Amino acid sequence: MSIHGRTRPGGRPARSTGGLKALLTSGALAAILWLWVMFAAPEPPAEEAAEAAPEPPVSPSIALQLEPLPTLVPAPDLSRKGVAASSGAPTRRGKSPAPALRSVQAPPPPAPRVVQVPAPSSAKPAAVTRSSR
Amino acid sequence: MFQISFRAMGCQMKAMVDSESVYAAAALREVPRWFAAWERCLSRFREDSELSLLNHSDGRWMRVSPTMWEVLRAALLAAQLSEGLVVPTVLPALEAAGYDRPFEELLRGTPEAADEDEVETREVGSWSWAAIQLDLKRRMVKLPEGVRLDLGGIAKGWAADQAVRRLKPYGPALVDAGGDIAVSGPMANGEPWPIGVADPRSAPRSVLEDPPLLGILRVARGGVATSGRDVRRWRRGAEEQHHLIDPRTGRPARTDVLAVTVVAPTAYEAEIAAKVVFLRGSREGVAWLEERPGFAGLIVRHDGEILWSSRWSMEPAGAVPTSGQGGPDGA
Repeated sequence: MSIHGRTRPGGRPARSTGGLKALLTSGALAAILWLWVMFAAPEPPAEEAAEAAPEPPVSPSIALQLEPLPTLVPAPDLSRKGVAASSGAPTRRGKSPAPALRSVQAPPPPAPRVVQVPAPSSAKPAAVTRSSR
Repeated sequence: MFQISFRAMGCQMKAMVDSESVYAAAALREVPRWFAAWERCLSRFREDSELSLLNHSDGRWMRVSPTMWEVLRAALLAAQLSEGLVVPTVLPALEAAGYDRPFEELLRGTPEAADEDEVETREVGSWSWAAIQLDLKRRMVKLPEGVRLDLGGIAKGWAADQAVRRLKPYGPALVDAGGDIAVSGPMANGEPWPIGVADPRSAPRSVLEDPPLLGILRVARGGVATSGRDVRRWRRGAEEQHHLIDPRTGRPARTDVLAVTVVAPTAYEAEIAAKVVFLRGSREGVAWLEERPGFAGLIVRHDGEILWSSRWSMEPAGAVPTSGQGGPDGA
């Protein structure tokens, strides 16, 4: 009498073959089921999850309040000289600046040049005195 | 003769040297840099200027640059010479009148009507120029608390004198700082420099346009300056404002003068004298000029009348008689 044997001593071989078949069939089914589970709902790698995050499940009972992220670069002070908004409404000095997409700097004026001139005369005086303008 | 033109201190500038030397041309090329440096130091419109730092010194001693030191002493001397009429402590009053930004920006937008009480509050305590302390040994300045300076009243004349002094070694020189003109000596041919006097009654449409002239001055040495309310003026509420503040009232001066031109030993002195005459009015102003031998002046009044002092001499342009003693009404 065997305690660990799968077949009884003296049993028929046909019964032993049927048990093996059943064992193989159930094993194959388990393997197929495991493969199906693995390929039907794969766990994405960490890198892929970061690139294409799945949409979060919709839960009407939860409302998220998102605070604006702090900016690392402060907005330009448009009241300062030399900074101009390229778009938006005209701003006034000391008022809240309009959102600036980028700052625009006027092209520098051409450098003054020394020129040769004829001697001044009554018709063409050297200079004209007048109130500052 | 070489010439260079450029903008600085909110005005059109010009410098000339009567020489064909390349060294003269090279010296002229430096002139815009000189003015830029002076403007960086003396401008009240630049937050980083030395003047702005001094104006925010809050009653503490501050060591200043040689340029600031020299101009500040010149401003205090002007206050003494003018008996308190041309003073550097007018900045709060100028701002109260609406002149709180460069003039080009001021013209682009009309300031809002001022609250009268606010104007009065800002004027109080603004005339203590005599309380400014100078430490001569350490070149330090202490402004009384609440006192803020504007050096625009003398800076251009001072700068014209400085520039002409630097150019003089290269030949006879003339520097025109926005209408305040300094001349180092006669031209190379020995003739005085011809200088036009603009007619303030008919202003040109742009700074580059030649204005109609009242006449031609012949200046061999010294300075010429014009002060008036014909250009730097704006509206604040219903009232017209201008940049010539009367320290006695803390408001833009209300006199019968439209513009004054003065010839003096230097451009700095001419600028001071022109403001004094403007603030005193035409009759007192002519009398003030007559008491000073080195000075001569011409006054155009609001009503169109023209007066001049006895030492004034000018070639007429057109039909305007402007040579000789007094004016049409015997001033």
